[in-house]
Amino acid sequence: MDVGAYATEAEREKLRSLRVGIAGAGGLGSNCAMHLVRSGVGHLAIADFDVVAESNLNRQFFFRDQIGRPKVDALAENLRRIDPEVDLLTYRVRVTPDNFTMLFAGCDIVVEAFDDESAKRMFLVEAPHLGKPMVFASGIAGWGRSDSVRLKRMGQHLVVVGDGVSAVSPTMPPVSPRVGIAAAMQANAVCAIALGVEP
Amino acid sequence: MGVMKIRYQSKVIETSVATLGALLAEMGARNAVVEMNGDFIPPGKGLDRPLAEGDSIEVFAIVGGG
Repeated sequence: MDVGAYATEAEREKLRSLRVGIAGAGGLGSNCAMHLVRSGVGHLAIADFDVVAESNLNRQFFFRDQIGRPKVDALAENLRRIDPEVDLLTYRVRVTPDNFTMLFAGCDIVVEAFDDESAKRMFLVEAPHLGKPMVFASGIAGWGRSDSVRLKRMGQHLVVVGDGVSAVSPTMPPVSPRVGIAAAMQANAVCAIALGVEP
Repeated sequence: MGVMKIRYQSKVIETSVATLGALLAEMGARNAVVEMNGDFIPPGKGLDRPLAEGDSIEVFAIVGGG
């Protein structure tokens, strides 16, 4: 993918040669992957065990005719419609402490894109072993309050995106605009880290 | 146990608790991303780290959704 004349050749090469791991292909992961491919990132490793459900279409980068298909397969198809050249490693597995390093060891940056709170905690335990930059999300549910979604550096290798408050609940649904804001901020942080600018 | 001043969420506070884990419990922040003096602390780790005057603790709550 060529991001066009607004990036220098050196910047384009940094993005083209980047391999980003994405743990989860739901609202955060599918949209983050879309932004990364549009930004010219050349290599993604994406892991998710789930299949596309109708309830996902309110926020995730899938289409109605993909319901029932593995998310990683449907996402790969959609990403290749943007850039047929993008290099995708897809794993239809549940990410666990046992397979985390195998799935993401080759990545330059790894993105946490789970919905489940305990899976998020697992990411924070396992990902630091890679010694690579990590981009994490927490607090993305509901409507409005766009500017409460913020970015915070935590330690040398971790960037956290979200409001740190808004858990998904019956009164606080995960919906496209706010999940999309967080996913775009995760992708923006990935690109900034790769380009050596402030995330 | 004496009272000491530390920075928590970029504000100076006084506390008399002895460890990072006790501080997080006191602040209701046991389920959070934690940074202590610039270092990321993975969940469940470092809870027995002693607190000292001038320590800086930052937290970001972990909540579900994605």
